[in-house]
Amino acid sequence: MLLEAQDLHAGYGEMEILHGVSMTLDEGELVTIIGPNGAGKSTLVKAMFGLIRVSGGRILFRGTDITARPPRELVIMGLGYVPQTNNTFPTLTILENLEMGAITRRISPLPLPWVRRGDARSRARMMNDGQIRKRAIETIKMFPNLEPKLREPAGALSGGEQQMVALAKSMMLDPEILLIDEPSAGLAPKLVDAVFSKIVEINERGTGIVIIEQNAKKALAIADRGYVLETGRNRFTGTGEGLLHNADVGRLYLGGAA
Amino acid sequence: MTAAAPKKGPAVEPGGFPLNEFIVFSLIGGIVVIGIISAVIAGATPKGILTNLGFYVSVAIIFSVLALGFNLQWGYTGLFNAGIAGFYLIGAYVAAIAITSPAPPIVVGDVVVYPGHLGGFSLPLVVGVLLAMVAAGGAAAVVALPALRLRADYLAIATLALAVTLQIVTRNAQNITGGAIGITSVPPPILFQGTDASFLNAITMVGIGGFVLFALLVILQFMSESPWGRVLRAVREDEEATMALGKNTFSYKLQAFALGGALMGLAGALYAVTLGYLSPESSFAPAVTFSVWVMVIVGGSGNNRGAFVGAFLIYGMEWLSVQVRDQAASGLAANYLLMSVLFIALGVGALLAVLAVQFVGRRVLDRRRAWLLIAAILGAFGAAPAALGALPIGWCFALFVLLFGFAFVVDRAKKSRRARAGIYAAATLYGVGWAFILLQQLAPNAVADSFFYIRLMIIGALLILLIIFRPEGILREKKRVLR
Amino acid sequence: MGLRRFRSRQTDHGRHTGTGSVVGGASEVAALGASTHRAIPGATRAGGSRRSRRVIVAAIGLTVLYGIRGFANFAYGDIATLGGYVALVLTFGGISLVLGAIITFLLLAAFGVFLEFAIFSRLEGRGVVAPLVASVGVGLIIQNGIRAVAGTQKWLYPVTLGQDFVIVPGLGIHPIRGILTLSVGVILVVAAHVLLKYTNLGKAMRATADNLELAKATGIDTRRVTYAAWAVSCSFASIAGVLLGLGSALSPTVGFESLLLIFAAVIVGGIGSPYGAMLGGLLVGMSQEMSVPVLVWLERPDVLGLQFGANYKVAVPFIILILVLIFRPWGIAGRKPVFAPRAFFLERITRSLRERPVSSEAVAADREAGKS
Repeated sequence: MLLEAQDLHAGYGEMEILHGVSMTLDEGELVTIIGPNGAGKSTLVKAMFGLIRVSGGRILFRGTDITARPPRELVIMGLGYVPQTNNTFPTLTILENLEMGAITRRISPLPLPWVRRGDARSRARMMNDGQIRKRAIETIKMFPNLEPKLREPAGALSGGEQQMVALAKSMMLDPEILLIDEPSAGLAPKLVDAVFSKIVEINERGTGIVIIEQNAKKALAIADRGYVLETGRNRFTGTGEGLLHNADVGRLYLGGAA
Repeated sequence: MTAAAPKKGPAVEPGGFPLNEFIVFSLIGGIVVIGIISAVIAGATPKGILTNLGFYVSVAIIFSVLALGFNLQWGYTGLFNAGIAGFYLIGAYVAAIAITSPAPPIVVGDVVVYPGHLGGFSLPLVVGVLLAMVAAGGAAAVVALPALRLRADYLAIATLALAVTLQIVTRNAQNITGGAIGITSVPPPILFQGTDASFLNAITMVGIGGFVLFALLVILQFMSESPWGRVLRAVREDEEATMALGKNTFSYKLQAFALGGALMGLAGALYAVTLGYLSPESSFAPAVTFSVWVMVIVGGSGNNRGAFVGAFLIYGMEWLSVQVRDQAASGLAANYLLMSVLFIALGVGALLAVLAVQFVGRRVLDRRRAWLLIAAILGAFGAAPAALGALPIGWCFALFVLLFGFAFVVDRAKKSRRARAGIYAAATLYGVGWAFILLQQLAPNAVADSFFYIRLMIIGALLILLIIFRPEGILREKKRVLR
Repeated sequence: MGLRRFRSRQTDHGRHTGTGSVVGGASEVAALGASTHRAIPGATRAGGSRRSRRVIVAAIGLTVLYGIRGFANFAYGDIATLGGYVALVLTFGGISLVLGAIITFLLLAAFGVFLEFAIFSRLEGRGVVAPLVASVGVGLIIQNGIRAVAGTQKWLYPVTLGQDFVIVPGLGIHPIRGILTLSVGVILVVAAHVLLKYTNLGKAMRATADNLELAKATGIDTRRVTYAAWAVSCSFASIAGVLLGLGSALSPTVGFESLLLIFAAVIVGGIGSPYGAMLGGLLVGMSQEMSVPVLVWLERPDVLGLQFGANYKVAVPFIILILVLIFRPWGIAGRKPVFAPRAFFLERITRSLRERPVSSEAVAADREAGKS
């Protein structure tokens, strides 16, 4: 089991949004989480990524409890997160965005006393600035249309291109798990297909992926398994195909019977 | 900020003894008592003392009105105003220009002795006050229009800019405001003659100010309970949700900001008639704005009663420092020693009170706890003169170190926020006392001025400590159900 | 270190200044200070660029902090003043001003880190107003602490102030006020550029300023970036303070008086954008000095009969600030936020007149605009 959430309770301030959600992600799997607005989909990934306080339940990564660990540690452990909007640094160039993606593995050229060196395993994976740049150029090859724009600020790109930059940025470290929050938000249908095919491509390289989606049909079509959330609780669970053809799910969330 | 205020700290138990209120009111009482004692030492007549006290009360009322205005803007609506001094200035000058009699420039030879000022309309006081309110409210609306839709700090910067600019313009626009000399001879509400004039004047101003303050408190209370006030609080808590309910939040925010500005204008008009003269320098410096913040934060933002109590407390500090400084100017250097000992005694008394509450209060009835506190504070007051005569300063210091160390250990062990706050307050009072003594030793001539600066430093420290440890203020807003 | 010692020192260094008179002390210094404030028509342009340089250095420092820490630091002017006084005290110890300024630079960097550690880190996540209020408290303590210790009189650095090099009659450059401050200003601007553009820390700082949440989720050590931002910000403030002291004279309010100008520069340039701050500082400083001839013209009895017209130049940053808030709240150099409403200001007024509730998308867009 790569990632597991057990009976998760979480929310903002005093307002609890998740009332006990559970889910699992296996090695190399692509799981999608769908549900109506306010069901707590985004809250679920944010809670898993340590961005909001978890009030109950726990999260396991390869059997290790990672509940309430700060995001930086999770990134070092091998998790990645792509937020829904504002997922690039607009004043940084694409290249700089990618460099930021690898910042947790950067070796400082200066022997600064306060730089934490980490354990032996993470030390072995550290990169110096040249290696990071090489890695960025390699990563960007997955997204050919971004290559000529490497030195343009990310804020000047279109929505679809920004989504690609965000994906590329999180691919810099080859994470074992990628949590993606609504990759299709605000994109034209054609671009949505492009983004989704990129996600499948990343998944085929062996990264376990969790996608949060409003666009349930498309997400279920590419997913191995799916979870349907409603008002902060699990409602349906099944394979992507199965949920896509489930009459109840179809009536409730997919806009008419499938 | 208010929305994110942490919900910790000791609450007043329902039906229990209102300890925080008691502490605040006894502090105000302490200020008055020390003020009277120092005036007696300086050899003031009873009438002189009452005039002085009347001045304290009427200026504290003016600050209360300022604090109420700011409370309406920030406490109720969440709009942060960093230019209170600017709206205050507008009110003061508009009222003064409207109600004074003509003042032509005085030129001796080629030298302009007095540049004169605009106006001399000799309008009745009520008209002047209304004009002041309209002008300040209008200015508030104009500044708020572009800044209200942006994040809170833009509004703060814009209003601060207005205040600073207005002060400089006032200093330079001689033919309108009288420049650096300002507007002299603003007529008092009732013109008294004879030797008792200043006393009678002070009493009149206390009466007028008290009436205005009372009326304002009633009106604001009524308004905050009305649907209008509920919308304002809803805007503060969650503007988007309020919008979703179909309320035009921009318009509500604008109304609240303009109304708050008008109240500041009213305060300015009261200031003009209370003092009788205006000059742009210290009365309208940015420090006024920061003092008003402390007043509202001490009292608890969103709480009208707190705003006015905070004003009496914080202005009391300033009044006291001026009292003491003025005596220094008249050469009564020995009084520093007395003042220092008083502050030290107050500190020790406060510490004793805190300890009493910590040790005894938990297990006894609330009423008895109150009596203990009263006894401790009275004992401290009684001890002060005794300490002056009998106890050398060194012993005072040793005693305090002992008590403080003891309290610190207790504080660590009990982890009580109230005890900690009490200890810090006591230490502050004590530190003030020692600062006086040290300054007197180091630089006798600098003491007089340093009083003023140390007061502002204390206000700065209070701002930091309150905003970190007690953002909800000492007297908190009653819990209200909004949604 | 009593006040008396300070006083005697001051008379001492009055002699150092070498401006001729040995009477020394406050009156001469005050006269010097006043003379720099007076508008000399011919020197207007040089004065404008000189002022802009000081503002630029301070504005870069402020905007870096503003962008990352997300609140308006009202203590910034007073931190600059503190820097100026620390350098002054160091020169009393016999250290040259250049070395003193470098030590001050480091000391103030440490002071900034201390401020974040002791005060502002406790106010994280409490909105924009709470740290703003705390910063005012810090400013009050610094400003009045200086007043209580060093007095309210003006102080000059013990450096020889030579004569202007006359380039064309009526327009000269002063060796210290002109050339030294110019070169220091240029060095700091270049240093800021190199830091932000080419170092990893600088990139992380820009990233954090862009989007704090995303920076955390990316794995940037935002804690360390915040401390670095405080260090950079306060050390830049210290240099700005020394430049202010060189330009006229040090007084306890010298920084606070420039605060408005600095804020105007930061907002004009777009909060969090160092390059914008450079541009904004230049624009605000120049326009303030450029306004002097116009104001002097307004002084003429047949035009407006304004008194002391040149003094009104302090209102210029305020007017620029308001205009920018109305028309381009995201700054002249900043990019328009993606969701910015089209007719920002007028539409809002007509809307409120029509009493129609504003859609929540517009609010979200406004918030974006406010954040950017």
